[in-house]
Amino acid sequence: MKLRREALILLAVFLAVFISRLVISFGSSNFTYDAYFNIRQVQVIRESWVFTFNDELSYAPHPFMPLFHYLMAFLSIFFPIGFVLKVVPNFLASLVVFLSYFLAFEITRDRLAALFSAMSAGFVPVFFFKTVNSVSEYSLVTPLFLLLVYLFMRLNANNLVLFLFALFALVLSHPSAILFVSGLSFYVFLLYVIGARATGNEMETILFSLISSVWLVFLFFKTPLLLHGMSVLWAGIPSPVQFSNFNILDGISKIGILTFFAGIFISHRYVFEEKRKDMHVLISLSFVVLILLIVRLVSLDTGLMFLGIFFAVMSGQAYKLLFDYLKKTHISRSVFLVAVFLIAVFIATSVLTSISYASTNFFDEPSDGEVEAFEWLSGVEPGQVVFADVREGSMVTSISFQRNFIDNRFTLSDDMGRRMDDLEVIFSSQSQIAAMEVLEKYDVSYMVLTRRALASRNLSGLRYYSQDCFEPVFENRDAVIYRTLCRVTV
Amino acid sequence: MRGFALPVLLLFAALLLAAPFFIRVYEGKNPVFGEEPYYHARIAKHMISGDLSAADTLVYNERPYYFGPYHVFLASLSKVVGIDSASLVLPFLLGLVSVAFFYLLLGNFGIVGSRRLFISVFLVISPSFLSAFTISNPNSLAIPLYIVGIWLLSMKGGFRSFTGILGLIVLFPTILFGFLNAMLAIVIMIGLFTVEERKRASFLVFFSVVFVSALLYYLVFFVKLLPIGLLSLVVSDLGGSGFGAFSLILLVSGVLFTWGKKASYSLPYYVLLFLLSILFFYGSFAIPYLSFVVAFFSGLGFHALVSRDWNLPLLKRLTILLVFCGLLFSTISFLSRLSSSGPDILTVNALLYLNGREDGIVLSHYSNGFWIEYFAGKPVLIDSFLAGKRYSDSNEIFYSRNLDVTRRLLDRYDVRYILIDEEMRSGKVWSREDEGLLFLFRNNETFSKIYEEGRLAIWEYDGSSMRSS
Repeated sequence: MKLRREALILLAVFLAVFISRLVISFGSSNFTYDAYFNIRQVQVIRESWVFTFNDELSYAPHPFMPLFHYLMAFLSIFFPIGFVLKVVPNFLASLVVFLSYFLAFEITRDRLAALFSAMSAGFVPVFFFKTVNSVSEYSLVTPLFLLLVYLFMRLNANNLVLFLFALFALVLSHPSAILFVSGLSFYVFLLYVIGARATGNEMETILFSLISSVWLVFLFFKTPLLLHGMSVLWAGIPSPVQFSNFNILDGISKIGILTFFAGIFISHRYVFEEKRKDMHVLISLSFVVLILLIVRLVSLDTGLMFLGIFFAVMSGQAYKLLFDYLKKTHISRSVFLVAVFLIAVFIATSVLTSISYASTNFFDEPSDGEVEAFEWLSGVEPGQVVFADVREGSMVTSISFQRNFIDNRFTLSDDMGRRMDDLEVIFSSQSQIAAMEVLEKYDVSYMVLTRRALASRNLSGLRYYSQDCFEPVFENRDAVIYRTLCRVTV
Repeated sequence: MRGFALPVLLLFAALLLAAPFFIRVYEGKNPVFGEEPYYHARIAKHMISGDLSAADTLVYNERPYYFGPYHVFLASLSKVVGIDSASLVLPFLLGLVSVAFFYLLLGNFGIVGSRRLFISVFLVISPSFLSAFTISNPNSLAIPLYIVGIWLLSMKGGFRSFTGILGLIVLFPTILFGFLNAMLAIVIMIGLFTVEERKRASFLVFFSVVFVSALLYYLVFFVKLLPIGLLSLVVSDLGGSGFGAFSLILLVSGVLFTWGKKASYSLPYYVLLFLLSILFFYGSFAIPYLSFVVAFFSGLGFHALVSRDWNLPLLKRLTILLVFCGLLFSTISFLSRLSSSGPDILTVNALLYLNGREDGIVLSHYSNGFWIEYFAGKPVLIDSFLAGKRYSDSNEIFYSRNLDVTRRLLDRYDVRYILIDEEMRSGKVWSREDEGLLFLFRNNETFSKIYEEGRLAIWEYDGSSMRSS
């Protein structure tokens, strides 16, 4: 009976997470800027069922792992694509509830603590708002991560095949699989430092995981690794602005206050005070993420997202220790009240924060007016090169079905730096000739200038604008589109 | 079967070393590939004709020739078979000699059976080995001298015996190849002649400290923590000419496997640590010599993998299969890259045409420098030996769309010809047809196209008032 009650509670937590996500996702008719790259890849796969780095509409080839996109494309056969893009990533992301529960239970052997852990994982604010409306591969990657850690802890000949499938699924979904094998490698080192040893099963699994992941990632990402370094594994371009604007309170808030302190407490306890091998896997993974954040090889939110999920699982052990301690005290009969109090604090700090962050995603999502502008461009002659701000580049390919000037993903070419410089010339130059030279260099036919892109540069319009060279063809409250008319000759 | 191991190994090595040559001949390409062989061939040519001067005049501002014992051998063989054939045959034969004596050398150290076979095969398929003995370069002579020297010195009787003295005689000429070669010879001597266990441990600590210091210095002062540039030089899967990624993983595995018995492996450990320390600062020197040590440890690591009793037999099979595929992929991919490297017929024809033109400095991508010097007989602004200001100025010339800036730089270096090939247009320099200098070529008062074949063109720059008509 008790098991059935806990199963129902777990299901209720899952549904709470899933439904919250759907409500927020369907509350906006658009997706985040980052989503449009993935949407474009799903469109490409849907046409021919063959993925390619070399999208004909993109200014340069983009490397990516295609499994997530194939999954979306496959499901879009049965359901409308808009529905699939809204529902499926949120469903996958919500599965962290179950996986955190099983993982936490594996560690704690305490169902109540595991339920707390599951709730924490479902409402890690940064994970919540980064995956709710962004058609993000992390919706699939994160549950796969937890599944792999779970299977690693219970590794034997029976679940080895499932482990291998999950490993290959992770590698084919996102190159951050390297994070998984790095964490496992660090786990071996950590065990050595504390005088313990990995089992034969663990060593063999880690060796195979390392070899297969490294090889597959090299196969897909060799060229971008050479061009852009290790940060290409997280696909988006880490912005120095993220780190310069960072403060610790913001970071704690994005992980969740209770989750953060529980994770820190458990990391400290099981590194310096007590030895428990099962905790060291998660501690090792957390440590590797922390190192990547410190050296800025991973974007701030991505790093905090992984850290938050790992801390959420580890927090189960913190809750167990707390409840066990309380049971020995004179307030042992009030354990239930303490649990309720913790839930209330959790709701106030993590749940509401998650929903609040996700609901006010204004700066991450285009407005309806901006989308309308890009949709208008889909009606012009195909094959035009369209200038737009960096984060809007993927909207040019996925909504306008035109060729873009630049976007915010790493590519297989090394001229991204030059394009970024040229982008700023086009926006901010005072010289029409300088701007026209750049526009002509890239054969730009249309320019989409959103109010947001101009405002971020303290501009109200192009300083070199003249009707002779720029014909306004579309305008609404949020964007204006110009057609370029002039040419510069040497 | 045991007696056939060496001949089969040599046959395998010969096939791999000859593969790029045969592929290029089949595709109608110039048989001698790569840039460096043409530099050495040019020196050998001068030696044959007796007009080798102290300074190399085929580069802007001149520089000394970098020549040594290898060029003497190359020139001597060239008198018999011609310079092109000598550039191919000499490293090929020296490669086979290296493989043979390395195999015998392993036996001297008690490494026999499957371990010896794995190590030798890992050596032969290693991109660094293939690169060292398919591309004419001085290391292809220095390496067999080291290998034969160690083989002789490791025989019974030590250095006081006849073989020992012969080993010293063979090892001695390696110091003529350069300071780092001399240092390597000293390290080898230390490894061979340190007998007492305490002294071995001390030297191991010493070399470990050197390595760690070099690593920290490199990471802190040269790069931002992650040496992507070094990785791209060392890892063949990332475009380098060193080792496959799996070889490096097996290297770590081999080091971990032998760490408990490191006293018995002091020579390979000393050499490994020394070469790794050098690698951070002189990568292109260390890599060919590392091929033997890496093969040693990765072969032992693979042997440990195969001979171990695995708890999960499925993982064992998958791991060995994956490693095998990964190594094969690295080797095939590297051989393919070697086969498709320049110079191609178009480039050779263009440079031969340029040979008939008036003297003048040629600007092109630095990787074309040695070819221009060899085939066109013209001085270059930069080649693969040069970096610094001239490199950055040449980049500015390539990328600038400002005619005045470009003219100023071209006049500064008195450039007369500009060679643009397909690779430069396709990403090596530019990715669009109207970028930088390509855009400025529209100005036909300043630039006139004097040769064109496919996407390869030679432009003549007419801008310097100092040039006589």
